[in-house]
Amino acid sequence: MSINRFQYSIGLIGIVVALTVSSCSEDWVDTKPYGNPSTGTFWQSEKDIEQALNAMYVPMRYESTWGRDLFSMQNASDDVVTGRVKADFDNIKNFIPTGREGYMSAGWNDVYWMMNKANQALQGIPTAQNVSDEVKNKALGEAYFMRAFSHFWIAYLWGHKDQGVPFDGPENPEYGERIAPQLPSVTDNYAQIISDLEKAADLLPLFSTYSDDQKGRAHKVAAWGYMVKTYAYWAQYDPSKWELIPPLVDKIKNEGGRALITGKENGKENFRAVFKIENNWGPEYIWSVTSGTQGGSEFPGVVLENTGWGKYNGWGYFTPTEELFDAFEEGDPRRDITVLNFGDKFTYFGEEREYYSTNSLSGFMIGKYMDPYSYGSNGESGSNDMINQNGDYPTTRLNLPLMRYAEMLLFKAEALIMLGRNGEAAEPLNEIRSRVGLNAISNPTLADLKHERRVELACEWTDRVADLKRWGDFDNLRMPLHGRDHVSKTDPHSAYNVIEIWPARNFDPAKHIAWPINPDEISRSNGVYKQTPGW
Amino acid sequence: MKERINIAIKNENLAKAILKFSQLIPVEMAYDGESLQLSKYRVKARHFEQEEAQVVLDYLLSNTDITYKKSDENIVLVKKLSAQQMGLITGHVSDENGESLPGASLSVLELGKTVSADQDGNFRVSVPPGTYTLEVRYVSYEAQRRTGLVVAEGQNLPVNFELKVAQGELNEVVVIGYGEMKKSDLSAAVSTVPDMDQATNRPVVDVPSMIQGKVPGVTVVSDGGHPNSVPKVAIRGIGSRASETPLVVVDGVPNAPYNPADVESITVLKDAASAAIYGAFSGASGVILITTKQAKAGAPGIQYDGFVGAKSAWRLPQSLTGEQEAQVYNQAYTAAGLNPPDGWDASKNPDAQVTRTDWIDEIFRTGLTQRHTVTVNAGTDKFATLLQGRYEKNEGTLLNTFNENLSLRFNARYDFTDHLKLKQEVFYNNNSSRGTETASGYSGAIISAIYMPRSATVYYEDGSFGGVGPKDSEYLGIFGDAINPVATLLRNNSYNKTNDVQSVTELSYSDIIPGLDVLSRFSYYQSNYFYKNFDPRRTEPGKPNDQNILSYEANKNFRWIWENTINYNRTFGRHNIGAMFSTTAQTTGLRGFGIAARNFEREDYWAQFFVNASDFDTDRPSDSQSEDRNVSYVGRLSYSWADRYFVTASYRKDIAGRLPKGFQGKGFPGLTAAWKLSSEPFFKVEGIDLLKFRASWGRIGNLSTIGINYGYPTLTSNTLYQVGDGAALNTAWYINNLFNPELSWETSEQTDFGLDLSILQERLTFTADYFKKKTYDLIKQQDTNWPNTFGLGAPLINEGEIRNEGLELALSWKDKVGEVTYGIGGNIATLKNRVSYISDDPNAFWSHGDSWRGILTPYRSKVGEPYYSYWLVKTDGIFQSDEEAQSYVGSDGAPIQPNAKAGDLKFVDQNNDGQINDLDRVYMGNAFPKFTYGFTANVNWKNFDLSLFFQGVGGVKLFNAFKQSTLNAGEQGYNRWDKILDAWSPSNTDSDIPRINAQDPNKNFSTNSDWFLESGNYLRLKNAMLGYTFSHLPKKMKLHVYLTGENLLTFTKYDGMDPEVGGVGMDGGQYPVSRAYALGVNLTF
Repeated sequence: MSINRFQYSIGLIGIVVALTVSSCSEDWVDTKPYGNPSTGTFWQSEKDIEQALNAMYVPMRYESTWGRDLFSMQNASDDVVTGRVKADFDNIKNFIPTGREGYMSAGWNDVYWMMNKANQALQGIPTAQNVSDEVKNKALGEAYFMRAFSHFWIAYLWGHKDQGVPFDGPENPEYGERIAPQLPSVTDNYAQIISDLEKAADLLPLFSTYSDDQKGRAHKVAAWGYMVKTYAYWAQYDPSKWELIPPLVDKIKNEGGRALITGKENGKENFRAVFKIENNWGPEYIWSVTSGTQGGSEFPGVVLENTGWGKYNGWGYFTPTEELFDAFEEGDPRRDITVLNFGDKFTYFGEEREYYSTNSLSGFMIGKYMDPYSYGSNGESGSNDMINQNGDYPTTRLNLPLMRYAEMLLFKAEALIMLGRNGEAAEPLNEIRSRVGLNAISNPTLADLKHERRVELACEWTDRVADLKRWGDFDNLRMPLHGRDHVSKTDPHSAYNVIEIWPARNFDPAKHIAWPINPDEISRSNGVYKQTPGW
Repeated sequence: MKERINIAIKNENLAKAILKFSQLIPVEMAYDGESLQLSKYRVKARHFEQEEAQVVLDYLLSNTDITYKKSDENIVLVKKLSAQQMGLITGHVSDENGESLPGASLSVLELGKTVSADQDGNFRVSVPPGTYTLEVRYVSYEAQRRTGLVVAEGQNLPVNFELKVAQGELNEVVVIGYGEMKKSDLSAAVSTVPDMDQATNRPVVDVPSMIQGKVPGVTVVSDGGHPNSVPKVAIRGIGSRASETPLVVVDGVPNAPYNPADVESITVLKDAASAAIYGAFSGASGVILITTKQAKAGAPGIQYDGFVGAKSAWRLPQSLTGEQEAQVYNQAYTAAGLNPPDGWDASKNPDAQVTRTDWIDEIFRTGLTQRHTVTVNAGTDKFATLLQGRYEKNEGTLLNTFNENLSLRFNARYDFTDHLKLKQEVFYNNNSSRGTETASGYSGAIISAIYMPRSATVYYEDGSFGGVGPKDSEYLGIFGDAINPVATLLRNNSYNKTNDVQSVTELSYSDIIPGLDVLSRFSYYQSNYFYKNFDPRRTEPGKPNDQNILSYEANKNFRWIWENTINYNRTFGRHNIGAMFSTTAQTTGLRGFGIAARNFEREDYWAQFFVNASDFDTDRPSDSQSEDRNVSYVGRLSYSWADRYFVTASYRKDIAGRLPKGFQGKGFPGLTAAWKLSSEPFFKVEGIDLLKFRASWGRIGNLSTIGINYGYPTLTSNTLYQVGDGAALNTAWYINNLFNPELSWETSEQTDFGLDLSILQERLTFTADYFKKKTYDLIKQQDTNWPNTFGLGAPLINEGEIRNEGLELALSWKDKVGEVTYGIGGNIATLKNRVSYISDDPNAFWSHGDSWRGILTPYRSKVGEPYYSYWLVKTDGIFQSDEEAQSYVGSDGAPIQPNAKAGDLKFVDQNNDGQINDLDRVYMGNAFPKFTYGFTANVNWKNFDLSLFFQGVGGVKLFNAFKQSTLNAGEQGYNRWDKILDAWSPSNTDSDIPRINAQDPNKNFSTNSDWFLESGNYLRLKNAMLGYTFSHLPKKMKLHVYLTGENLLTFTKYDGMDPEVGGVGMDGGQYPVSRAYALGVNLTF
């Protein structure tokens, strides 16, 4: 018996194949990714820097942040109630949340995501190649601002005098190797925020230098503005911070060129103009969620009448209370802009309409964000090119103001009052009042300031709950809330009774002064994080 | 005389040629040259090279009256007898039903002569006069012998054979990884799926459904009743933290597409030792080997197999009528101290109180299931082909849901010589499917049917889809953002097609030297996916969406695998030696893109094209391309002695290109040993055919959770509108997840001890296995020690270990009593699953994000508990009075549930700290069955066949999340499940449903409590089948007709629709598994 050549060759081929494959297999299997840039080849150009900075702004268009969810905690004020049945929202409002409610925890998660992108930028920018120092500095300024901005939102909501919120940054040597530590006190968070904002203010240009395609990016005045707000919140623990506010507000006015919108035919129109699309970037702008028909804040749709009178997917959340309605002085034109009341006229998709609602729990609706819905014709939402046609994400062309110049004037007035310089406080306070045609107050008290702050900023994202907490006005967080029960809810001119729409709540400052952290987050930290004191 | 020789024949006389020939062959030649007169014959010159000796001898003796008889020892030349002098044995071979058995082999033992029966089962063999023994053999039939057949000169002796089906399975050959083995010689835990003929006749259209309940230790759980999803298979428990899908190898090719109706056998490699041969690709779970029907010899024949059936859902929930809904909401608002909205006031909004629609009835239908397969087979012993076409359509019980397959298969075998063979397979499949989502607590089709008010109509009078109420109604806000589920189902008109093409070419050469075979197999697979979907505007009130969108997606995947295997098997005396070495190189690639545009003025079908879109900015086109390569080396050695002792050792090394450099290669060993006690000379127990003890150990890996090109971290992109006036679209790049450069695959290590027993002529067979499996270096995104404050996605890490341990028993009995043949079989398996290690931190745990509406997150894993355990607060009934609630106090005397009132759930303060929070949560089992069982009974009587198959699971806990959003009056104004009418009230105090309230201050519905937890145990009459075979049909025609039903009876205590909800056991109104009835036919002609 023998083996012929054919049989040999088959065996040989097998062996050759085996050997060939084995000798180069490590190289052969090495395939590289296509499409996305790899981490090793980034930070090489100005474009890279721009794209990295853009990441910080992404969460601003989320429902979980300034679209709806973070408002779940502002909803605990006496100005609004949840306009529709929603058990989780109601438990937050009633100060009995677990912290696990998605409306609280998703906001926390996404704002920390934002903070991380700022930290990524702060880490990467100094290493960037082919980029001038000028560009790097401006970029660092944006990153410092966005880190401070995101940090501020977490700090004031969840931070406690005896326990700050988690923060870490690449300037700390352990950064990335450890769980971001809870700082000892929220004042430590505020100190860090101020430090970042100071750097940002130094590095950033003025908004007036921005071309249209740069609007929406961090700018010098926004940094000053958040310094003002941070100092004001810090001052509840350290009154010396009040002193730092007036000069900053003056800089915002004088160097930053910020001013109230005025010059319309009357006070009412002056105030209405503040919430018009055409004034998205007007003189009062300091910081907003840039919004459009494809992305931005959906808050205008969130507060629109539930089902939008059958024409658009309004969500019907957060309806004003009788308490807020009554807080306005006689003749204050801001009331009609802020609160839609039965019979109030407004334009809706090109048609005039009188307000009524079968859905609103209080019989009112927030009116500040109605401008985008006035566009269009024949009452058809599809004809309106100022709104997102996707009812699941009802954004509009109206930017959502998070901070406007009026709030700066109010903080200046509050600071001066707190410093005992009530007379000086008259000027900023009356600037606000005269813009809407109200008489001046010569020597304003803290009560005057609180009133003015409430009515000027009502139903905006300036957080009345935080104000009531820092002022110690806890009764406002406890008292039952009222609304109007119209005899016929489909008749704009129907008579009504004022009824209690929200029973009295239990607010205990020892527990409820700061919001609870999601217990799952505490679990994941594996004992590193402590729950907010009192919870 | 198969040996090959070289011989040069000259023009010479036969005597010389024979002499030369006899010196070249290993056996002796015996002949009497004189009497045969060899030298009187002349042979013609011819050169033979590497020719079989027999061929040469046949040449030499052609044109002579000399022939030969061969035996093991020698070759004897004898004088040919003339045809008149020869005798003849003729006859017919059939089975017990009289069916011919073409190809049966008949041996005349005395002559060493073998012939085959022809197409009709007839045979004919000529023999010299004498007395003979005739033996007939046919695969899977008992051999039969007839002795003392006396054949006289010129006589034709008729002998017919009727073969019995072999009862024994011990001689069955079982497919194992990279080879096959006699079942009785197996030393690993390898199971074959029994009753395959019935399985392929059942109206189920996937292989996991055929395996369910049939193999102990293999747990198959349906993902509900979705027609377009396949049940999940877990072999010996869940060990991985990510997807753990067994590797399916079809005719030797991993992950190949196939027609489930074509499956001939299914083998499950349960232990790691047998699966180790597939290394890192075996999914840490095990391997399923499938063999499909292959082309075989025979005259052209056509076979049709098919069934047509209908199915319907059962145990469906019902929602409140209009009047009831108003009553519940008025009650709910009042209870919360809120003013009920006017919309629920009958005098103001009477429309909402009229009941018009039964939504559940509207969305469900009777679905049709059908499959038709036509197979044409033809071939000789050198060449055979099989051509097959299949059409299959499986409609779901929800409107407009289906899965449809059209496939064509060509299979051919070419035997160039006895050694060199080529096999070619081409498979084409065209799939089209349309599903619906039922898991979402917001828009799932079934839950939407509950959410919709019954005062609404399916359609408005103008024929458009109806919303939550009349378009001009002022009170629509009371209904919440419910979506018309009929519209959801019917608006889905997507074009969703996948074309799969697979080619497998297999070239083999056997007996290079005796016992040494080589095989080279190249397979190429390509899949093309094309998706077009037009999502129309949803203008009806409820959850309107004024935007329409057209989107396209196209993908092309390819994969090639080249495998070269050398196999050596030889028996030397009582030593049986086997060796195998194989290399595999494979490449998988993908290219794809997606585009979309919005705002189409017209929505007609003709207008659903991009040319009519006006918004091209919102959706950016996306594309992708990737390639992944792997190389593997596989080796196996096996040895057995005297059919008593068996050992095998295998080793596989995988080099995976997707992993970071330095961590790409890993080896996977496997060892098995068996002792066949019944073969020992001293073992003489009457009635025991086989008694064998087995042990095995091995390791396998799971690579599937690691993304392609993982070793090269890339940035992630996102879009934003927050920079630039008018909210322009911008893009962003960032690092999304921390990169772990040391990531490697997870490994599963398993030890198995088994016993095989067969007694009473294989009538009773019994198999038992005990296994211990640990899966370690589990891959998962880090969760513990990674709070969201990182703001960065957690890295993938190798962490932790999960152990599974279980006992598997299978018993079957087959016998015949009179005209009745019957078989009964049962199997049962237990499974104990525990997380055994997470990290050195004793408090370590894994959190699981699975949530219901973002409200309930019931899962957590901890060392010592089953993986994916429920982690819940215990409830202790319902407070019967406000006083009872207030007197439920902690040690400090303060109420534990300060907001509780009569009718609220009482939560157990597990740690006695006076409050209810996460510290009170306890581990309460999981959704994975602790034991599974199945039993089958088959009876054949005359032409009737009947089979019953029961299947069940135990130790299953399900989280009935459906209750959260349908029994809770504090949720959005949706309509509710009518069970809410039975909620606790002062007049209905023995209810276990908490009170009706528009708010939920006691958090009855937002506390992760065991109120949602229910037993998911069930026992099903999974299948029943009654068939009849028509035996007196013309020609070769064969007809079998049967009636069958699936899921005919289900015994369960579960409150939801069906206990088989799939996933991790969270049931949010899952598409229910349905009942099906079908009529089927198997026809051959």
